[in-house]
Amino acid sequence: MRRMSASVVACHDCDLLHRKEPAPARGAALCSRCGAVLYRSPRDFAERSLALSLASLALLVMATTLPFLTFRMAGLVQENHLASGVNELRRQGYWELAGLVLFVTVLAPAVRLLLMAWVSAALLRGRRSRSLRQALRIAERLKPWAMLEVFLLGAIVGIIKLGQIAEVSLDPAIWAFGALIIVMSAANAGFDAHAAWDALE
Amino acid sequence: MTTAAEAGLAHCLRCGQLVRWSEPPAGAECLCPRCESPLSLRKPDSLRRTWALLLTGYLFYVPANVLPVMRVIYSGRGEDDTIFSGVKVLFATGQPAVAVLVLFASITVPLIKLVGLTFMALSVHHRWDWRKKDRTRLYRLIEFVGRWSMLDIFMISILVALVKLQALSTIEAGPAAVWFACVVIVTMFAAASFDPRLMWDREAR
Repeated sequence: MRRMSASVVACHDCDLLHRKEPAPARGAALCSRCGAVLYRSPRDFAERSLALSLASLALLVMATTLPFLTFRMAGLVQENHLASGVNELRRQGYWELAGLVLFVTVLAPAVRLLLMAWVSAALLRGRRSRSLRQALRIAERLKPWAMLEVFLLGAIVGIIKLGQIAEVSLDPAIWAFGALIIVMSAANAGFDAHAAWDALE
Repeated sequence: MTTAAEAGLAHCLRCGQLVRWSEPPAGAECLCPRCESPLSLRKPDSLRRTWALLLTGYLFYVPANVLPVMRVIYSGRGEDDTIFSGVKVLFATGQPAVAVLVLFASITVPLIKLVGLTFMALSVHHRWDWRKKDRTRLYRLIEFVGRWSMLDIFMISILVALVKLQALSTIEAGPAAVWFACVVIVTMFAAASFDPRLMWDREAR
């Protein structure tokens, strides 16, 4: 199979071919027919995305190991961790839900962040290899399944619901979690998968 | 205005590589030379897979909304909550903003996904020629918004962990939670198997 040069790009949503021209600084090139983002202006993103993905990993460890929320009602106190929900769902017989929640809130983000950090570090040193390309492919596939921000919103709705019948206090992990979402969004936004593919070739 | 397919090129959707396309022998599969993902001119069996997943999604949507999504046991008395009754309770207790948020994430978004994808699949079947750009925008919206309907599942996982004060008060997950999670996952796969480029192909299918 013959590969085409990198001077031509196709739109992933409507398949129109475009000659690759430099995108405006800090901007993006859009498909002239359907408006999809084709590519972004090149930036040195590896150093920043290495730092951000390592910081996200540290915050993810804090968010999963520290206490998350405490529930007080009529003198009874219930402290819980991020994984308590997974445990309780499994105990109630909903092991498929438990597995799903564990996957999209811990496993998928953790693996994606590790692979992003690895790929960024390799880009910084100018390394390229087949396993790096596979790491990048898996990291990109996991992207839609890392649902931390949806989880935080679900937790907030839960807290508001319970706040009416009892006292819910926020523990350190939830703040780590909030910070994690901000840092991870920055890591995701800065990571240019197209440029990484070109550099790993 | 030439498309990659018209120029005889296959576009790898995983890494963006363009490859001179030649049909592989029956039973064989082409891999992208750069990222080694399966390669084809259009997503394989796109319409058939999308229809199958959509049908499954519609079927699961019914028990997801009819059966109880969680059970609140308060001083020995149990009360079932469906997705919709949970929203009504939020409205009744003076939390309209949160109620609208949950309504949107758990009821509107799954419906938009199912109906929107059905509409787009129909538009390819019948080779409609109008407002392709808007239909492509709708596809991008559906792809983006899908994950947010997981909100209810996460809320339940928080509630069951916090409220387990034995005799006083307990919250249990209900069977609808599983159906609902299935709707979210099936529609995510349906969106991924639909190929928006089919809407632009003159000789659709």
